[in-house]
This record gives sequence, structure tokens and C-alpha cells, in this order.
Amino acid sequence: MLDIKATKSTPRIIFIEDSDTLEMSGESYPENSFAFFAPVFEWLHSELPKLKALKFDVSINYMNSSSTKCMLDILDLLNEAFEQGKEVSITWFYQAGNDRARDLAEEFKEDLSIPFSIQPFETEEVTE
Amino acid sequence: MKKSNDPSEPLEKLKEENQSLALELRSAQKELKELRQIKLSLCLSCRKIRNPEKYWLQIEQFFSAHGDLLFTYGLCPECAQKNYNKLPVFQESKREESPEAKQYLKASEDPLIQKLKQELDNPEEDPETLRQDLAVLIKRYEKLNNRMNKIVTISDSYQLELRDLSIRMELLAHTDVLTGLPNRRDIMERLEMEHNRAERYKSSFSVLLFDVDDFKKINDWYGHDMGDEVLKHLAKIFRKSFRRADTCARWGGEEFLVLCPESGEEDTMIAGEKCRSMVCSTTIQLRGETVTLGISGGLCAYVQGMSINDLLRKVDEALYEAKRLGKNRIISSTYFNS
Repeated sequence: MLDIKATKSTPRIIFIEDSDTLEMSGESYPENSFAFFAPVFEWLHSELPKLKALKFDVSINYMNSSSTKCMLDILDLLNEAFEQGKEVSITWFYQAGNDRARDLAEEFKEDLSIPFSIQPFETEEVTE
Repeated sequence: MKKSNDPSEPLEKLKEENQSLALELRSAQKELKELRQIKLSLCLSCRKIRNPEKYWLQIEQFFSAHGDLLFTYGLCPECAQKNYNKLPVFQESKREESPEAKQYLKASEDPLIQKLKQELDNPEEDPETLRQDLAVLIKRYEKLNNRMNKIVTISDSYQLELRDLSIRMELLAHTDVLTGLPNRRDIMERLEMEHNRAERYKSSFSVLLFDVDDFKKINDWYGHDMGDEVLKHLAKIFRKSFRRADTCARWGGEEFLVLCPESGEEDTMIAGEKCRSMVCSTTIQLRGETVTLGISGGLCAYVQGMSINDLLRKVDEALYEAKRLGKNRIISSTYFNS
């Protein structure tokens, strides 16, 4: 069970069992990113081996440097699982029309062999 | 000021005040008496304080009755921190550090690095083992280097995004959203700059204040949305008719302020008249009707020693005069003053 509520400076992170989806959305600039992401790593280490498939949906508008490191480490873990034959995929959402955000998504995608889809979203849909 | 009809009223008030003062005095006298009771007696000869029996009890009684003399209320840093953390925003981000989190911070405790350190310290170490470990380390180092470059690139990009956002916010804070013209805050800053420059270099500048004639009627007749259309239409004309160096801003409501640097009264009047005639000669469609607009303006050219407030007051008076004389004209403050 992984369900971290969003705050002003941290994203919402939730695992939805019905669809085997790990969702991460919001902004990420915690005071201590390593402490903040620790439960996610714990969860990945313990639960990922048990799962048959995992979808990772990311819509993060802003990340600080340490969150970026954590994100790259998470992507590494997922990539590793994919290379070991697990059905893992990533969908990276970026704000429609924001070219820089799109390039950033490409930057995250680079060097990974895992299926990595980059999708635009309209701001209104995300802000409810 | 309204006068009281009842002559006895001030007397009553005085009596009341006297009563409350008397009460205060009585309570102060009581406090002083109690304070005197807890005086310590000092021996004149040996200079020792005589500590009577039950003295501390007396002290305790006194301060429990007059706590306000001793205490003032605040929040100690520890409690401030505790309450701060209770705020919903900070709940989630203040997680306890788990061993998992610390793992990232202690890269020097990496087993491979430790092993290599030991191998290097041992002169009899097998070179082949060293070679193999070094190969692993180089691979890791390579990966780490790439990772660091990636993080830096990504972070730079996010920072650029933030910078863009802050520029947009800054711009928005200086812009009137309806017309796209600089807003009052922006023109005030420019006005201050221009005023400082004029004071220092003895240069000239002028200010024009325009007001849309009968704007209230337009709003009432065609609706506020059409009123907004009129303001947008006028903003376009203002932008076209003045020089690049001039700044035209929305001063508020249906007023526009134009700042003309390096311009005396005569030049500014010519520019202002050009703008006014452009407004008069164009029409605007409001709910299917063709409407011709008019604007009135006040002009004031800066004179050494004049403050910004003086300038704004004079230009306002000139505009008022233009309205009074029948609208759709520009009046200079010099004309008005003479």
C-alpha cells in the first residue's frame, strides 16, 4: 500500500492496485528529497518483484535537483525490472505547448530501454 | 462638531472618570502594600539579609496573586517549531529519515570503495584483484559522471522554467490585463525615474492625463463589456500615436497617463492633439452601432523643483478644466494657471 498525499512542495504518489499503476503528480521540492522518496524505494524494492506488470504515470511540473536524482534512480529500477522481463512501462505527461517540458521528458527517457511514452496534457484537466 | 444639548453631560463624564481613577488608585495601593510586606530586612551592622520564616511562602502568594507583574506571553522556539509542523502543508514533507534515505548520503561507505582502499593499503595485494576492482569502479564512475551531467542538465532546464515564470509574473505585475498597457504601478516607477533624471540633468519631460468622455454613458448604454472594448480600442490608438520613447499607461478606470521624456509643453501638446484627433476620427462598433469617441486631456510640463505629486495634481486640475470647458480638448496646466 503506497499512498502519499500531495503537499505544497511534494507530489502525490499512489499505487492503484486495480490497474497496477503507480502515479506521481504535482511538484517536487521537499526539504529532504531522499527522506521523502525513501518509502517509494522501499515499496519498489519489496513490491515490484511481486507484481506481474507495472505502469508508471508521471506528471510532475517541477522537480528540484535531489528529486531529479531520485526520479532517475526510480526509472533505473523500473528499467532494470523491464530488462529482466517484467511488463513495465512509463507514461510521462507534460504541459501541452511547453516545448521545454517536452525536451525534459526526452532527457529522462534517454538511455532507457523501457517503453516510455511522452504525452501532452491540457492544464485544465490536471488542475481539476 | 455636534454640540451637546445637555449641560450636565460633561460633568457626568468627569464623575465617571474620577470613579474609575479612584478604583485604579485603590488597587495600586493594595498591590504596593502587599509588595511592602515581602520586603527583606537587611541588617545595618552585618549587612546580612534576614530571611524570615515562611518568606518563600509569602513570595509565592504574592506572585500567584500578581502573575501579570512577572509574566508576559509569547511562544518559545520549541513550541513554535512544534506548532509550525502541525500546519497541514508541512505534515507530509517532514518525514522521519529512514535508513534507506541515509543510504544516499553515505557514498563513502560504499563496500567497493572500502575494499579498494584496503587493497591499496596492502603492499602484497594481488594486482589482478586490484585490476578487476578498478575496472568495476571505472564503470561505476562513468555511470556516476553521466548521471551527474544528466541531473545538472535537467535541473538547469527546470531553473530556466522558473526564471521564465518569474519574468512572466514580473511582466504581469506591471501590465494592465485588459488593455495590455503598462499599469499604474509601472508608470509610477517610470515617472519617478524620469523625475530623478530631470532633476539631476535639468532635462525636461511632460505628462498627459486622458479621460474618455462620457464613458459612464457608454457603460450604462451598451454594457460594461462594451466599455472594456472601448478601452482596448483606445489603447491601440494610444500605442500607435505616441513615440516609442513615450509610455502610455492605464492610470485607472477610463484614465490613461502618458509620460513623454525630453518633451516640453509645446511638443507634448502637438503629440497629444495628434492622438486626440485620431481618437475623434475613428469609429468603433458597439452592439451594431457606430460610435465616435472623444477624449479630454490635461497636460503638465515638468518645471525644476516640481515634485511628482505637484505634477500629478496639476495635470489632474488641467484635465478637470478641459472637462469643464466642454470636453474633447487638451488643456495645459500653464494655461490653466495663468
